Amino acid sequence: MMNNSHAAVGTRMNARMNTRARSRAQQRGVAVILALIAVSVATLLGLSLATSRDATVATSSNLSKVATARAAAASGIDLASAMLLKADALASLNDATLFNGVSINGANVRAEVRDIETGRPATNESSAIEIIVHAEADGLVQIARAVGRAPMLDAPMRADLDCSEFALLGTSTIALLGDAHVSVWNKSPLAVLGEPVRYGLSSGSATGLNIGRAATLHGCVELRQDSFTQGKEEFEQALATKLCPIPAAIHVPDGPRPERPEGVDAVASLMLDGLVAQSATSSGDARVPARGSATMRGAITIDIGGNFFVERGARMFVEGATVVVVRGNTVIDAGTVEVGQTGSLTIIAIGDLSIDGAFVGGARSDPSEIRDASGQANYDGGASRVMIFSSDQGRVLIADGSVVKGQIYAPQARVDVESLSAVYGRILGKEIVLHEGVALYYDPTLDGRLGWSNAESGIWTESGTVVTAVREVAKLDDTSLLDFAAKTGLEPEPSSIAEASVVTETQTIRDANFDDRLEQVSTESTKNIRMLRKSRLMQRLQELKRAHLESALKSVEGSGSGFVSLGFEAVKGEDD
Amino acid sequence: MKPRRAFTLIEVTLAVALLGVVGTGIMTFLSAFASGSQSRVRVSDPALEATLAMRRLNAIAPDFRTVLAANKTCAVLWLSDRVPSRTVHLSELGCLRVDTKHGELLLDTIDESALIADRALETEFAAGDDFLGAIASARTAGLLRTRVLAEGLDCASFSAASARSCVVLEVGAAGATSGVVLSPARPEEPLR
Repeated sequence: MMNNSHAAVGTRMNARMNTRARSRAQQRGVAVILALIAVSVATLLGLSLATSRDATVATSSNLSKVATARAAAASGIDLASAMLLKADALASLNDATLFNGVSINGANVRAEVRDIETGRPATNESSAIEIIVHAEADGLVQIARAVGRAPMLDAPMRADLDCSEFALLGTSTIALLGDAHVSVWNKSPLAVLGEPVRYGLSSGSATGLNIGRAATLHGCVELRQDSFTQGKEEFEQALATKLCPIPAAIHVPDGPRPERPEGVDAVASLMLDGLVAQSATSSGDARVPARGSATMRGAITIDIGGNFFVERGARMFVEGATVVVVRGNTVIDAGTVEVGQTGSLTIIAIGDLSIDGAFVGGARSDPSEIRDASGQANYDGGASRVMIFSSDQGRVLIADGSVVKGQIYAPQARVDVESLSAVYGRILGKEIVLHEGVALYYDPTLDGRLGWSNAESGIWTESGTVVTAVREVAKLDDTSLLDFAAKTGLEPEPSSIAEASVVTETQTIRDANFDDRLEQVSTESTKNIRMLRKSRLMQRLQELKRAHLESALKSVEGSGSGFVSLGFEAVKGEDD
Repeated sequence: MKPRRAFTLIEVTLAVALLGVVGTGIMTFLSAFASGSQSRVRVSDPALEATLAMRRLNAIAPDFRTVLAANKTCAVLWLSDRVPSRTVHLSELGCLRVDTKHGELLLDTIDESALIADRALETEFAAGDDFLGAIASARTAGLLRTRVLAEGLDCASFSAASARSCVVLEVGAAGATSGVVLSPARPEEPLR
């Protein structure tokens, strides 16, 4: 009995002890959970703080990287500029890339050089270029751009004789009447260069310049016979006084006056309507009939013995390199002459030229653009597609709200622009009169920087005088230019001359080979056609030089002199 | 009745004290974090607005050359050499000004169509000319075109910077202020 009671007490005690142990175990679990919650909250707070601090650090780091990349990009521009001074730097470009993977202050830098006119990789023929530098610092990219004229290291060996660097050049007088206006063509791709627009008389004198009080010349400098500026300070001084000093009177050659092609059957009169794909010669008049449409295709020359009329409402569209020689008068009366992307038009007007209420220029991308004398006309290939020569003492009249996007070269003629007309390009004439309400907008792409305004060009000798042969160039034609090249060894710049030069060779220009080559580049711009012509001209120039050299060597042999000087080479220490 | 074990008074007191200390710490931390975050928002508002305004100005006038004149409420800028001459023309002027009524930072430029219609309006300036007066005259003549660069500002003002071609723009928004230096990428003084 006693044992049983003891056993019962023991069982109760065990049960109590188990209950206590269970209770303690439960309490321990709560503490662990509380501790876990506390640790979680602390961890979350810590992470939040760390994240917030990280964002601040990242922002600062990004700012620092951006600054690094910007500085590297700016340095890349300087590096690219220096590299471009190396001869043939542009010729060795790899798809516009001047350098790639260059490390500047930890940033990876790449530079591209593009032709501003074409947007394509720059070449040795590029007149103005854009340098685009990409700098990447730890994934952040900054881009720096710079525009400028391409370094022309061969400038002393080249000469541009057509005075295309002048917006307005008179050989006798210039008059700006009423509110006539001269400025830069803002839509020209080279307008970004911000170069001043040159105007004046070829004599470099102010006598003969009549600028009306209401006339406006925006961003223009006047040609004045004075020594070239030396250094930046003098240049800026001249610019501030609106002067462009050139140390000699400018020689202006006459326009080309091609002979009539021999052995070609001339028709009595020409009606240009529909497709015109072959050269033609007429003894009498030629016309594009009223409301008619003529498309000139391929490299053709139309030689007109009488007058040439583009009648009211007519449209002449030029797709190839077309030359129109008019031995009588030229009248474009309320018609349209448009030059397509692959074309160029040269009109050689030996009589008077009248453009009356008409449009002459690159094919308009906006057909609604009919008359725009505001300076806002679309570029559409610019002024280099159309060249108008007046090769006699005739008269050039642009009137009744006409718009001409091209170049007018008439050194012996009077040029009148009147009645709200506008010229987008340049005018060279004997007497130039811009009447009330008219405007001239210069296209800077015409300035190849190889002419009179560049002291480094082949026009000038090292002592700063004009090369004698420059003044002996009588006409802008092949004969005169090749003669000039043979005498001086200089390469005449045929930017606008080539258009004229083809005229004197109507037989050779149409050879199959050249036509094929033109076909190959039919999708290219006018500039490519100019380059093609230039290469052809240069090829002929080389042949001429070779012939000249051969005759010179023969004369040396004949005189019995067998010495040819090879110059000296310094070799140090051999004789010691 | 079963006897109950509970925390002793000392244990409870200690636990309450500890909870108080930890709770206070957590509350302090959270409130500091919240107020810091709030203050960052306040600071970044005007800085952001000023930076955006400068970016917009840069997009409109990437060739901005120099600050020609400034007072507390406006700054006259030479935006470009659009008429190539290295001198200042009317068409090349821009005026950065504050519209306190609407809380906006505005850029006034010359309306090109007005100049096309009348080319005689174009004026060439010399360095000492009154550019602020020229802008005021242009505004009176209705030649200005206005663009908004920043809005929602409490205040904004211009003050002189160390460099002559620059000006300091101080912008106030959401109770805080921030200043940026308005400086051209390639400063250039006009020739005249």
